[in-house]
Amino acid sequence: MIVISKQQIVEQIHQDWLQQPQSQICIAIFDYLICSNFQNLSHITYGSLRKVVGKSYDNRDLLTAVQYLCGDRTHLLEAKFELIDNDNYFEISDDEMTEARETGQLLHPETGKLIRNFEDKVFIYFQPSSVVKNLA
Amino acid sequence: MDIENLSLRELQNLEQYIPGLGRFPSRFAVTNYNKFIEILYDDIDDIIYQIQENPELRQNDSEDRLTIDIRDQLRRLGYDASHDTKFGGHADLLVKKGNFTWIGEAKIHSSYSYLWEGFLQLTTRYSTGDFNQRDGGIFIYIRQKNVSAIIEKWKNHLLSKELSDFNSEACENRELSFFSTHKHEASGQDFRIKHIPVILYFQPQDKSGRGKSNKKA
Amino acid sequence: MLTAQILEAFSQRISWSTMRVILKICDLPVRRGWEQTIQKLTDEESVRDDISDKIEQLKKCYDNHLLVNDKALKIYQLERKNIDKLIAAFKKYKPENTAFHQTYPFPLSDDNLKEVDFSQKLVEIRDTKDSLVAIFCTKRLFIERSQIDTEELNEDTRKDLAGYDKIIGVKEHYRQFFDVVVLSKQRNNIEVRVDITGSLSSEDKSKAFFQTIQQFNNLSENIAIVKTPLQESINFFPLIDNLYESDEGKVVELAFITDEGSTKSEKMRKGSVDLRTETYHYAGKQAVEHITSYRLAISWNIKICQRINSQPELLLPGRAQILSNQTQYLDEVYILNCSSLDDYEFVVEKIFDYLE
Repeated sequence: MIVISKQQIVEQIHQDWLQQPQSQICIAIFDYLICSNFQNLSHITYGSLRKVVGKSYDNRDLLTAVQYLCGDRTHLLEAKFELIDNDNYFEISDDEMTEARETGQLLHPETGKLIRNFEDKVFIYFQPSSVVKNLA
Repeated sequence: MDIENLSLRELQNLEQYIPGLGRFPSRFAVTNYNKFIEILYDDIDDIIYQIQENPELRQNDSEDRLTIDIRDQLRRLGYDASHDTKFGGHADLLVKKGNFTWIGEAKIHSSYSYLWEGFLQLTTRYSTGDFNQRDGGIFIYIRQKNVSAIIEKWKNHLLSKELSDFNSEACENRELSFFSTHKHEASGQDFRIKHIPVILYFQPQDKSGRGKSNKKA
Repeated sequence: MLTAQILEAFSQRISWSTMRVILKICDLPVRRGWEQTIQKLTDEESVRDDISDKIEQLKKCYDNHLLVNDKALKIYQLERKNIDKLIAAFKKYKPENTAFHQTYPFPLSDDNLKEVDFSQKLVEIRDTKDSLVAIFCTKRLFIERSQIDTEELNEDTRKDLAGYDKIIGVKEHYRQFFDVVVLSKQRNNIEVRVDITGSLSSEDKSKAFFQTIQQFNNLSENIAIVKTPLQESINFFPLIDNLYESDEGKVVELAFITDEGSTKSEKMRKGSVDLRTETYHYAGKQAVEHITSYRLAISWNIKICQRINSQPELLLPGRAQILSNQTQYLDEVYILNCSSLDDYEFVVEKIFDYLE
């Protein structure tokens, strides 16, 4: 694993986004992750990230910045799937998600039933990546 | 639009406003090489379409400049993309995800022998023939008109080289692109290359454009 | 086929995640969901000779799970001599034949269940190393609410309902429940375990306890001449603070009040940290002199063997008004997600350890 410093991460973000608003958005999210009790951070939603960056950025910029931070380039967020069913949350593994997309049916982890039209019920949430956890 | 949570469906619906976002869940959750390549090619197509929207801005760009732009767009999607010039100073693109690797060559079209050089440069980089390095691509930056004729001639040029087990097939998503497969000499594995034209032909028909182009000539 | 019958019965009663644990314990294959797994096991059963032991083990798991999954529990203390008297009497007692015996230990089919009345019937007396168990079956009305997938409706209906964001269907149907009374050979107590699988309503649960206690008391008087052994159940309330303040397991839910007039209800998602160490909860607790809790859920991660873990949970389902009584009394607990008798015993041991 390549060891990378906080400074290098910030530089990389600026290099990739230059003067675009995503630069500031990514830095704000990075700051939030390293300043929090990140060992406990296990369920960060888009809504929460919206709070972190504030209202002055539009959704499009926030979404593309988050997408970037989940990628391999500057991997600060781990994206995960969950099924939300009547206010209950069920984690869905990447493998199950792949299977669901190929077969068109998702296995409900609790009921054991296969459900169609699951795209309306599956959501993405985030955790700090191992890169962040190894930094602090 | 308030985004407390976004379902997969909502992300897909946003695709028309934010290209690439619909593929976000598949991109990070991908677990097999073929799927990685499939999504990468969809993303590359989107980037190419964007570049093609403003050919007038690209008339003086070098191979390096064009490839670096593609690299930067890929990085913004989250790809670990790099531009490696250690092979004799020509432009190429490397995209990695864990063990998965994809390499691209870029050439500004001038002659078919020049494109052939790019093709050879690409194939020599795959000497290991690793299981997760089976695909590569060539970006063909074309400033001339009649791209489909150029691509057809290029296909025939390749055919004439009589590569071992050579085969070509159309790209389902884009008529002008195509795939070639041949048996890689060193590794004995099949190596599949996507040939990706980038249309940079610019010859404006209106008065202001004609004036400019006359001056150039 | 036996496996299909066992799994169909399980599917009405336990979560898929618990079923996977049980199948792994029995070294049986797991596929995507109930249907595919039943199909796979049925296929295996018909071709493999070496699988019958494993299926026997699965059947045993099913027999055991009737005693432990999911249960609301009341515990009654009784003198040793009276418990022994009850054990001796019940050991000799043969339950009468009932309609439930047609398929017992598997539940009756929906059609057959319709014909049965609502009275509770003793169906089995089971003598084990640690206890004597009396198992009762009852038919109860069960109301199921689920969201209707509009894609499954015809076009005209879909059009009529187009203005609605969600369509919820309410289905009333009958289900068979398995309530259990356990006479311990080690401890001086009797457990009444009411079946609460599928989120039985509070009202139905109370009725189930009433029925079971009354039945057992009557039987005890008739066959063992022990009058009303089940009188006052023990108070579980002290467990709430005792467990919260311990290092046990992982607290996944806590409800409490503060003296500044606030009622708080906190829940942790599966896979998250212990509520006790969650930043927000911890900081809040530090800021006040004390909190007064009335509801607690705690789970344990038990390693059965490599790559097989179970997660039984203990819920102390108090309500805020308990705190306003002169004595705080909580007479029942729920034990959930047990994959085996061992899981259940593990939790009951903790109850006794922390009640001391």
